[in-house]
Amino acid sequence: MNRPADIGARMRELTHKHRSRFFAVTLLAVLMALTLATQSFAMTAAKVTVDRDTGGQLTRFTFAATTDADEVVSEIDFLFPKGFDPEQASVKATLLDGLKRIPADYSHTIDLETGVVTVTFNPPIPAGSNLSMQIHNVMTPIAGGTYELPVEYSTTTTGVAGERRSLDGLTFKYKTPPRAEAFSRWLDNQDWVTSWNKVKFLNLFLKPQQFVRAVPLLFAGWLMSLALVLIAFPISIIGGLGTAFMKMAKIPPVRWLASIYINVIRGTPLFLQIFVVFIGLRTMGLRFPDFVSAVIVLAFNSSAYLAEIFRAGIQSISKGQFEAASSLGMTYWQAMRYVIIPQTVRRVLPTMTSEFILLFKDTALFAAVGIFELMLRSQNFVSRSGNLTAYVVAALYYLVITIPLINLVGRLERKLAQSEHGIVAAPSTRRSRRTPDLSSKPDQAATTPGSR
Amino acid sequence: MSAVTKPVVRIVNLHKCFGALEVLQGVDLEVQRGEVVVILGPSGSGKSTMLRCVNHLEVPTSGEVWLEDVQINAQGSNVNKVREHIGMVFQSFNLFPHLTARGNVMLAQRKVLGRSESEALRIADEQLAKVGLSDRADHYPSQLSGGQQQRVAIARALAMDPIVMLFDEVTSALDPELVRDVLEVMKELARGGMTMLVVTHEMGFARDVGSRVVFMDGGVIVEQGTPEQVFDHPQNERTKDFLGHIS
Repeated sequence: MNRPADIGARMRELTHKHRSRFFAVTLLAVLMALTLATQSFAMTAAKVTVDRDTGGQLTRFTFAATTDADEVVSEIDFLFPKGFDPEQASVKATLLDGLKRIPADYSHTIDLETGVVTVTFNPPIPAGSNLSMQIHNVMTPIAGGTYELPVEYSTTTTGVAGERRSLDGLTFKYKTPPRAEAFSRWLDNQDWVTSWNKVKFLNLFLKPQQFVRAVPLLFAGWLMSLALVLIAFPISIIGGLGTAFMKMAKIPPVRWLASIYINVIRGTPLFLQIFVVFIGLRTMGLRFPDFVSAVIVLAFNSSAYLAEIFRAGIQSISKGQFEAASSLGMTYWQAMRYVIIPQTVRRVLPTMTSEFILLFKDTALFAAVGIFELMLRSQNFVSRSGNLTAYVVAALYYLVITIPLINLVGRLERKLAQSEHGIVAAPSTRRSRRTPDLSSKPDQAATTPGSR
Repeated sequence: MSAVTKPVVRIVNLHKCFGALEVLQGVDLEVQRGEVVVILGPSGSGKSTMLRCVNHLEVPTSGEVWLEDVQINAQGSNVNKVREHIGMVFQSFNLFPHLTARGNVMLAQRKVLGRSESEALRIADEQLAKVGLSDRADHYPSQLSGGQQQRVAIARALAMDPIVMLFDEVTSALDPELVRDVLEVMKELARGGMTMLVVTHEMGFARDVGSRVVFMDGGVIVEQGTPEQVFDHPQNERTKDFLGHIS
């Protein structure tokens, strides 16, 4: 399209010779442009960009163009489409002649009814300038898409005043933000949210906008924490059982080995163990993927605790059970497998569940070594936003798992106590005072060693 | 020795120490097939320890314990294998609380003797019927009275087809009204010709059912003989003293 250049050239030609005729021709041209709705670019290389890629937020619009050689622009109007709110807009303009900066003096007005931002230049922009304008803080609608920003301007060709020209087809685009983001931006505009956020405490810990953003962002961290513990715990059940039997072994060195392992693990902070594995082993050249390392530490740690829980559980089963099994000709392992362990499981289930809860909470320590679990994600979120709501969201994510399990522990304990005290037994059950205490209480030892 | 007189259980010069305490100080005892040997004595006399040495729940310090022609406490003897043939019933029942009465009777049949499910089930129900608990087969131990539990324990031992049965104060933990049922079962067993070693305080049972009464005190057998001999004409002062106290 050479049209803008054409008009410019003709104008230049005509200026000198036939001023009156020029007027008529120009009018004709403008009329033609308006009636035929063809693009009549006078400024060249005009374009509009936005600094945000999603809608529903305060956005900076940048308009860049080069005024034509004969154009002197005194006023530019930005006709924001419906849904765009320039109420808080401010304007910055930069003029360049070639690479040289020309001082610009300008002011702007905003018509809230029509959404038009008018920028007046006084003195006007010289012909052939590179113009760059930034309109800050225009609120965009949430829905994404390609929008057009019509721009009109008043130009004076040297000596002639008051000519209106328009630039059509200047488009910009952005996307609809993710649902949480959109929701958050919607919340930005709610009165109750504004009042809510005026309370300092609520604003700091329970800011609705932060809340709805943090929920989806922390979800992945929650899954990571869960995955860590769900993979590590079954491993530590096996490890714990093995260690428990080692601790009860007849051969002293085997017992010692188990004791050393249990005491070292239980006697040192998990935090330290994490650093030993993540940094120590790595320095030695043993490199595992972070997730694998984390599972290893957790399983190693929990095995030691479970070993003590299992050992105490097994030893809390009355000796008579083992003797009865033995007197029937069962081997040690048969007695364990069919008589002792099934009873132990029932007894240690509450303590095991408690250990699971502890382990799940302990996954937070992996934040220190860069595993993107719940804690680290919330920490990052908080440091980005300067608001503590993400910690509250993280707490809720932990509680979603722990509260039901804490309840379960309570129920299991009550059930165990009932069955061991014979409350579920038929009414015919009576035991004399001479009865040795078969229904030994849920052994203290069985419930304590797991606690930290 | 002829096959007829060959003892089922033979204990030779049995000693057992717990640390410095010598609980058994040289016990000799032979039990013939079909005999019901009742062991009496004050508490601490070593009766239970002796009984527990028979199936190796206690490891003798010295001496020999034989089941037929196998020495249980010999180096390298397969204790579990021997125990299959020795039934034992405990004072505290020791039923497996996680299994029903039937499950208790079936477990060792399946896992130790390798009987099929159906055979173990048949025998379990048979034995439970014998002790009068067919209607309690599906009950858990916690749902049974002490007497019922003890009868299940007897059925559990009998299901293994033992050569000899050991009873370790099996009625001591029971309410008096429940003792009779258990003793009834034991009497029936004796009548059926089961070889039995019975540690008890039930003098009536000892007199009626015992084919021999052994009186122990201080870790040795002080006196033994038929119930009439021991109860009516005790020779030893300690026996007299003991019997005088309890009657």
